[in-house]
Amino acid sequence: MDALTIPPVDLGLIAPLLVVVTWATGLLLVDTFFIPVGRKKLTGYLAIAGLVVAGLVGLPLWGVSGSTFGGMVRLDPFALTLTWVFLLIGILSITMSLDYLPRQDIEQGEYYPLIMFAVSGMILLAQGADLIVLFLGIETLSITLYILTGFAYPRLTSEEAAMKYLVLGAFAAGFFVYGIALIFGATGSTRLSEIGAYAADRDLGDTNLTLLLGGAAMVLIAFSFKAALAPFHMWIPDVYQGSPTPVAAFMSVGTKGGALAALVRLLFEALPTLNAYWLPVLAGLTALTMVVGNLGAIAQMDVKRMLAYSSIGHAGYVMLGVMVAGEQRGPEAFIFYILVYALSNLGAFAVLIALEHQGEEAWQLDDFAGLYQRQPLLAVAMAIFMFSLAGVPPTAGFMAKFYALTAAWEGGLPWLALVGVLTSAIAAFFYLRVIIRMFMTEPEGEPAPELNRGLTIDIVVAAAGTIIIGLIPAPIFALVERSAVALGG
Amino acid sequence: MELLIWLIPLLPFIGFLLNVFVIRRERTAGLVASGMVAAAFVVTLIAVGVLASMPPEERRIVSTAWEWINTGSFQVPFAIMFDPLTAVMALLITGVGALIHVYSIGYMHGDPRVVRYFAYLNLFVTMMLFLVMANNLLLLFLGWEGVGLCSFLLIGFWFERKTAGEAAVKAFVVNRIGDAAFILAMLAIFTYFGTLNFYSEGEGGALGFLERVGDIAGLRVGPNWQPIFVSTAISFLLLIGATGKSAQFPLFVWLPDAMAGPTPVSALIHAATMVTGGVYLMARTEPLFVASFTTQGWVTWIGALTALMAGTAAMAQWDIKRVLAYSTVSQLGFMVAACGMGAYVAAIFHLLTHGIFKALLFLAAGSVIHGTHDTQDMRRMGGLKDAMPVTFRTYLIGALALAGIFPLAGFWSKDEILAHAVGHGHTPIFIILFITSLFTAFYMGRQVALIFFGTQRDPSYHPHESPQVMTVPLIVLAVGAIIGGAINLPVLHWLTDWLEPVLHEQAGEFNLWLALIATIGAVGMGYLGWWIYTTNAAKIKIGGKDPIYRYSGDIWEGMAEAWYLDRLYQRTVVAGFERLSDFLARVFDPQGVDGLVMGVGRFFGGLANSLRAVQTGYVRTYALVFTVGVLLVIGFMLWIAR
Repeated sequence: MDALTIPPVDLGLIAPLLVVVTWATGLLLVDTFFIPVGRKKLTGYLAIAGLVVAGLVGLPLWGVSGSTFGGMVRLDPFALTLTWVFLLIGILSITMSLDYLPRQDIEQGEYYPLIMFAVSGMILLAQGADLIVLFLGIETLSITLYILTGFAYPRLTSEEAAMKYLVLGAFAAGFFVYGIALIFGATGSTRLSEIGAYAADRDLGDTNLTLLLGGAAMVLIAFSFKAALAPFHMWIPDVYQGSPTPVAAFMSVGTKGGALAALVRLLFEALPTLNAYWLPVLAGLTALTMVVGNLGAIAQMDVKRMLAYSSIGHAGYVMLGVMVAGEQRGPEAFIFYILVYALSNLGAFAVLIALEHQGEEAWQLDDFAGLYQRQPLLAVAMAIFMFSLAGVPPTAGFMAKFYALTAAWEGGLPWLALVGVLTSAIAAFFYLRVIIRMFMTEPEGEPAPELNRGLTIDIVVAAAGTIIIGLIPAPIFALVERSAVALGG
Repeated sequence: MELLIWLIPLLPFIGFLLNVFVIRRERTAGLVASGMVAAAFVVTLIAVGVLASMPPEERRIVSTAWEWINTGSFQVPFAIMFDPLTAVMALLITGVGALIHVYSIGYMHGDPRVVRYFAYLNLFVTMMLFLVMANNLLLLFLGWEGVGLCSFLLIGFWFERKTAGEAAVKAFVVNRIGDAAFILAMLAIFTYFGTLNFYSEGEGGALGFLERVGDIAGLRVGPNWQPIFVSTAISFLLLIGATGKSAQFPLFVWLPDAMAGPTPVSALIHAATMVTGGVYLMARTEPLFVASFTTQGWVTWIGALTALMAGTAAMAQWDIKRVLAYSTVSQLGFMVAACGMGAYVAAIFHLLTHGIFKALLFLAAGSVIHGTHDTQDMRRMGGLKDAMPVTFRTYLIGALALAGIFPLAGFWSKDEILAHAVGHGHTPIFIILFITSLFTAFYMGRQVALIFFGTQRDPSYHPHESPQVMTVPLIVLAVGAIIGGAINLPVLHWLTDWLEPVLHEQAGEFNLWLALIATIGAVGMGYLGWWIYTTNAAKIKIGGKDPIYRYSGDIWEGMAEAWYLDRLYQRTVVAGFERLSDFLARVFDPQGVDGLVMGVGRFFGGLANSLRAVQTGYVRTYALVFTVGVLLVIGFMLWIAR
């Protein structure tokens, strides 16, 4: 019997993650003991600082590829670029919360560390090379989000949303664990690369194949739930609508990015040889997702709910890249889309927050009436976000969508690209309704939107990013191109 | 030189930026906007001069600003070009555009949002220039979407009028169908050629896809039982894109409604420039179309059918602008049919002359509307020729040009299309187009009679001539409508020679007999239209029926409704779509409906209870759907594993 040996640990490879987690833990203590009630914004600033530091710590790791913790955690350009995207998402979400929380009377110091923990879960999902680590990542992300969803707990809808999310999330987690068990039963490993090698080398017997496929199906379902693929999307509208707006914004891009990053690794390290089985399933789910999300959005009069449906639709477009991640263009399209979607969607949510007032819900389409007259620049920014989400050039959203469609088309899924094109043609309709309200109606005494520093920064960054990436996407393309190389190897 | 061609789209763009961010006064807005477009016109003229000084085969200036996309095999430059085809389009856009900008100063005077109007108009010109100057499909698509957006904003400019908002949305949604096909065409072109550039970028660069159409000759795609040629697939997708933008059957329904926008907008966007974008696209990608016999057949027939349908519809309209709108659709049909028959030069020729005389007609109609205090129903007009002499004369010139009366511009360009149809054995197409051209003369005669002759049927307003800022552009355009045909007279055929490096076409033969017959027919039908509506002027009542209605009955009704195509869509597509989203909302998202229907109840508080009551039900429903999904996924994967 071998002695239990502890594998060598290279903490350098998880430096950004480490910074985020330790900083968040420390910040909890600092917040409790040193930051007085009413000055909790300071905690927010500190949290932003932590995320920035984590991003800087990642800089020297560019180009590094390696594993640690006995191969359970991996760092490569793919993971690192996604880490930066996730940190950006975290920063923008916190910035838009700074004024939102006190305005809604729900300012609590632990909010900011919780967001950081959620970001750490996302980073872990991007870095995980083992099913157990992926589970850890997804639960870190989910559990913090359950709390954040219910953060506006005096509000009934917030509590309701948290409850729904928790119940269904637990349901999905169950599938994940059961799937891991089956896969382990079939292959004797939870390491992605070892599962892949096992499935590739040997002729799997009937039993093992069935076990492996069953397990894979369950894990896929769990990821589909997190990424909001139909028909596992039902929770999204209620949860988004009920949760505090910045949390909904964070969730809409964060969970998608994290879960799908992990899915990319899972599919192309553990299950590439089984793609005859999962590709049709995922393609079907993706098509359904695009249809359901975009059709569902049409009927909505509530902009927040419309954005929730739109986020379902976008999950489908992101999946276009994920599914063909075996090709060079797949992961490229995936990272690019997540980044662009994060900017545009966070920007749109930030505008919602600007229009939101204490206790009132100002998310109805009519609340946008004549916004151009009231706040021209805010209206222009919202128009940019809407066009980007709809995929109209020259915004970044068009580039991202076009690139994802190209990836799917070239990756042998032209029919799926066709569904994508048609649904995005439909999608233009509901984004357009917001624009019509802003530019083509007269204001009818709606209160002025409240824009303060945090929100302004958020909106400006997001709008500028959306336009600049749309006009000069080449640097970002260069980045994602180099990030995508290492994958599948 | 490269800087020079960048100036062409950038000048109007600067105007746009100034109007959005700096200018607050109506007067400055109009002057700056017009000045920028006029300057762009001057620059275009200089660029044309430079181009003409080059040897014919080298007449293409390409300028790359930056690499738009460059990842591995996927390269798209942000590059514009200037070649003979682009040159004539840019001249039309900036030339007619500048006149319409000037005219707008008078027409829009006093409007509360006039600065925004000029900002939109400048943005439109910028985008339209990008559309025609792009050296690759992706940039062309940027312009394509951009002009669609401006069109949408300008149709809905007077959003206080309910129809304006609806018409704007309709235009946008119908155009999205074409856009979807456009995107698919781009994907297909990129897959088969690996580039979206039209031509090679300078010496030694990789060839553009238009130069390599031979690569896909004989290549087939699709299911084994019915493979189609790749060239057919690609060109057909482009055709669908063109039918959306150029308002062709079956997608022309948005254009008549688009007349809800200000009249100068109708003149610029919905007559002279944007709607010709589809024709330009087909001319630009001509090698792809020529490579597919099948698609060309479709193009020809779509064009001819559209010409006839819209031509008949134009005869039975009462709204002064709707007559012109249907007429535009009809004339676009002529151009599309010409493209389908391979007469690309004739199509571009007609595009140019039509751009001039239709802009003239719209602006003159705007002058009529302006001088009659926003009257658009021709039954309320009559006898305006004395009160509005300049408008009357210019309108008459426009009408004669459109009707194809010798020697005005429309005669030459229309005759070239008809002569090509006869000369190349497209007899059925020729018959359809010839009949349509007779109808054209008829409805123009009718319109002139209804507006300007007889006595004023509605005495509630005092008509007056428009100010000079409006009539001067009319006069300039009228001169253009008279002499415009000179650019491609038979024998001289300057335009054919000028476009030869791009379209590689030889001048067609001039058919004297055809010209004679067509002119006699047009004069006859025009006179008939004028005669019927002047002699029966007394029978025309406000809100009443057309005098011909007595004899034609329901056919007239069908024409007035453009053969019910719009209503068909209303009853099927729109209604079906509403039901579907209603269904989805009710079944999958009860809370969404709740928000719609019971929004009022929500305000008054009963919310908490009702929500709590359904809350558990929801989660149960969600879990149920979830489980169904699980069963499907696992079942499917294990089933194919069998």
